[in-house]
Amino acid sequence: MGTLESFMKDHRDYIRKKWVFMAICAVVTAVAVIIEIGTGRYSLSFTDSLGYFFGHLTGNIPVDPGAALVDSIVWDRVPTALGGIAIGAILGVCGCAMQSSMKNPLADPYMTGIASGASLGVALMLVAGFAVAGGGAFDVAIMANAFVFAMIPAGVMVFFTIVNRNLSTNGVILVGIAVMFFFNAVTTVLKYYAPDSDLADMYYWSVGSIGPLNWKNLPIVLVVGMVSVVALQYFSRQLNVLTMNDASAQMLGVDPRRVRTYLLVLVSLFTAVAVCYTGTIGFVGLVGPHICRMFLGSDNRYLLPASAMAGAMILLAADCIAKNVTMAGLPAGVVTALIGGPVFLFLLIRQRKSDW
Amino acid sequence: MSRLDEAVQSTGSGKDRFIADYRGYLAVKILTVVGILVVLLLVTGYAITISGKDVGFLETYGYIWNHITGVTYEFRSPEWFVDYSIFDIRMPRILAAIIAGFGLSVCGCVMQAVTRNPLADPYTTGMSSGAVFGVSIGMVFGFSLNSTFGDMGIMFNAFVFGLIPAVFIIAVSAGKTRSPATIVLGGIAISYLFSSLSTIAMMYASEQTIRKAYLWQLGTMERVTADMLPLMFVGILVCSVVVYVFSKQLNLLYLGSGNASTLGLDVGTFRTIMIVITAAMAAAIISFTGVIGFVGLVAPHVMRHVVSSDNRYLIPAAGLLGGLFLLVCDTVGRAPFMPVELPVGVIMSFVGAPIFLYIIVRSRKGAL
Repeated sequence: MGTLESFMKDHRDYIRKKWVFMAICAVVTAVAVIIEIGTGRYSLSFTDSLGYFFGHLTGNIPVDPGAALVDSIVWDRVPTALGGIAIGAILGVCGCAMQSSMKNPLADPYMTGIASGASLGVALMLVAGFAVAGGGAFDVAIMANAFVFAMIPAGVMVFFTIVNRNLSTNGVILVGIAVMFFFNAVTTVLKYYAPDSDLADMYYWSVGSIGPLNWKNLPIVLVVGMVSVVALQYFSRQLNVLTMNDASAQMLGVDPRRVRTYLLVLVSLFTAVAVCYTGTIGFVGLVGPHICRMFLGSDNRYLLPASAMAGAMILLAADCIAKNVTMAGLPAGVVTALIGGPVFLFLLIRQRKSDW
Repeated sequence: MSRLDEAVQSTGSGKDRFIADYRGYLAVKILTVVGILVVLLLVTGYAITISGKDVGFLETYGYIWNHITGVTYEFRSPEWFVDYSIFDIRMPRILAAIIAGFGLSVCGCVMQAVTRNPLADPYTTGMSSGAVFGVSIGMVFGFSLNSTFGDMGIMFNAFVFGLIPAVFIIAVSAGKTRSPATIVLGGIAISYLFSSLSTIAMMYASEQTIRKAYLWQLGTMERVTADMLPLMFVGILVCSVVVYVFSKQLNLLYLGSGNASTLGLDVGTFRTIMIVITAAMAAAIISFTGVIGFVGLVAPHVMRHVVSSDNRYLIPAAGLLGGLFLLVCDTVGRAPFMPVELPVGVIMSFVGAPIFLYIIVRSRKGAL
């Protein structure tokens, strides 16, 4: 049909499309960062916050006390924005890896029961005062609990993958869900004994927010964010091979079970870090990769980084919407759920095999 | 040559032997049902003896018999008090547990047949989150769909909002071969959606209201009073009978929709009817008792091993076992050796979640 030239042109167009998509994500994210640092109890216009941001970056810290105060307010919001990018990237890239490795379009980073494990850890700390680490510091103890308990369901999943070699991919997913149901039951009992105020705290925790990010925890979040994108990118070729059936993958030298197990562990680790700082922000890791899939197809070499960028964009945009729509300071998780829920239902109805 | 003769020839055994085998096979099923009924009766007797006025285990049956045969006691005599506490305080709770367990298990059987999925159950399809959302907005904003306030309005909200996820999930999955994982993940995602909606509602609520809404979702028989029982009983009975009448058609669904329609079943219409009936039944039960998960998963699963997956036997057997199971859990929750009274929904989850795991791990490759 087409000559070599037209074929090459098609290919170049395809590559260009990917770069354009990523560039759009980057621009929207950058705009969201500026809006984000200009919004809060003391709000600024877009140009003002842009000015303060670059002013501070270039070392132009105002001397006038009023302006200096504004500058410090704006600068204190920067970790929320930057951390939000990292958290969104973690959720996006992990969601993409999970969907590709489990070959299930409905998979998301929390699929390994992370949300339920983290809630259990938080409930244990708030109600029973049980902490795995932290040495008395309340916030640290809650985070440590959330992190450790978030990893347990994934551990159980890996255990059953090793013990029961007949377990299918879907079987592995369902094992995680079984652990999730059990953890939810334990959390319910703990809530039963909790005083009313702790119960309210747990409700807020269960819908994630990027509010808790600050200069102190920003470095960890940023490093984990970068590591997650790089580490999962390393698996992109194997993930592409996994889209075939397992026998074909094996013939091409990829052990599907081993790759899946590695990915399960990595994704749980990264997501647990995200969750212990922000709580469970739903649907970012589900919707982000799907948007990318619509534009980029399902080549994981491009899909993984694009998902990270789309995740960052969605989370930050959702937080901007949450902050601007209500003065009550709605958590970002509520907005992502309100947007992501309908998208999810749409996916469920129009589930196609073609993109997989 | 009749089919029986063919079967006899192919197995190589005598005709009498074949018939005897079949009778034995039937007898097992009938014995199972009778056995569950007997145990149910015994547990009911024990459940009556717990808490409140002391009544001996065997005495309770005497009181029940006398009550049924119309013996009346002198007003405010010791016997009158015992009779009153049995029939007006303890019996409603016990009967509610049996009826709810029965209904939820029947729902489980039908949902599993319609979706051809061993993990379908009112809880795994996300019904509870919808009901909880209905209750939350009822309690926080005083919003109710039938414009009556108070408990009935709340219950009605739970009913309607509980229907939404179930109808959606079952309707989407019926007909197509969806993997069980997809259906369960769908249920979980819907419950994410509804629980964030509930959380938005909670942000406007006081801490006491949050506590009230939370307690509602625990799943307990305490709220069921004697005057709700007839409504609950008749509703569940009618729905169960309707479902049972169609048990042969439900069996056809096991063969896949293509084969079922070749055998003369209007698959689409039939599925829709079954979905509506079971979703309504489960939502009604949840609105009375709060969230109770896994009964509809566990009871049918156990009975599939004992009486086979033939819905003609599975539905009654699983229903009775579900009633027994829920009653036992409720009784254990308030048994004297427990430090505090635990809601039955919590106990069910503790028992049900490991069984859910067991079903997955033990299933053959490709089955899930």
